[in-house]
Amino acid sequence: MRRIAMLTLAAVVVAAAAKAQTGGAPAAATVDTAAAKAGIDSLRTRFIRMQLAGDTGIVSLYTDDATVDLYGVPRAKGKAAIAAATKMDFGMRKYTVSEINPIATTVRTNDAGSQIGTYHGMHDVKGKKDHEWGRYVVGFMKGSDGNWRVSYIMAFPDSTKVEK
Amino acid sequence: MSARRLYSLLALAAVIGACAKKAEETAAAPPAVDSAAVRAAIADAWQRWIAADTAGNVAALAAMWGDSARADIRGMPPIMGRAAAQAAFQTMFKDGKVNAESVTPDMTIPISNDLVYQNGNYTETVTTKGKTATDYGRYALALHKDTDGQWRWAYVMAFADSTVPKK
Repeated sequence: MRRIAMLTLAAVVVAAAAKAQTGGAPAAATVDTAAAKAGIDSLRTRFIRMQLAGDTGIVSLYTDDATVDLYGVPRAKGKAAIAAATKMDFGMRKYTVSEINPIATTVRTNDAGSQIGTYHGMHDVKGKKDHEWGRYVVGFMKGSDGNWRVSYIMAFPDSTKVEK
Repeated sequence: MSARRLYSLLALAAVIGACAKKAEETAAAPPAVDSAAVRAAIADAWQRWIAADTAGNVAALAAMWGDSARADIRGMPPIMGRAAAQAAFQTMFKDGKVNAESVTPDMTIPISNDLVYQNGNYTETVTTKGKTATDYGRYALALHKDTDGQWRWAYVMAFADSTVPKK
């Protein structure tokens, strides 16, 4: 369960991010890749800030129907489940370091994208410090309010270390 | 639970990034997505994958792997490209055999007529050096259709799920 959080951010997946285009074919809009990446970068910055603050309001950075697949914890679907998992995680440990390092960011449309990358977190768990390094894939969507959110995330730790 | 096994399963592929064509310029109107056809394609791909995996058919597995596909499997370094995937398959089958494998999709999202995302759960029963074990895990995958009309793994992430006890 500890793992959870850390992972955090990650982001893509696959899925969510994507709105399936099932209807007819309206004219395609020009994709402003730079703007989308800026929005996604901003999301990452806010995510890290809220994680370090232990702010359970971090759930607002997920879409209403987001899915979270984190190693060590059951799949969480929807904001209520994600909020519960986040509350538990933040209650168990304090994030003292949160680093999210994208490897590749793909912007598919002006409101959907994905990313893979690595993360590093350091926590204070009842006086003991631990580090966690891992990989993630995330899906993003931009809401009607103009804010980018995580629609899907899968992440797992590659290694952990406890400092004595 | 070995990470290597997962790999096998996985199958998935591409990443995110890779498969996605950057749509930086204005594009012509995209064609309507035939979601039923795309879903049928990924289901078919999984069937072929499982058949090849349980047969230990490295060539068939490699043929389903995109040229630049990436796999992020817990316990293994990133696997980049078909050659690396084929080498991993060969190593895996040298020591063990996949007896049974199944996938249960959670979400399947047709992005276009040549790209689909899926996440879900898998099980894999493997015999390695006389010992048989079953892994339970989760995966996220991107599958894309190449110019030859074949659907291939573009990206996959997977890990054995520690929340499901082994029997």
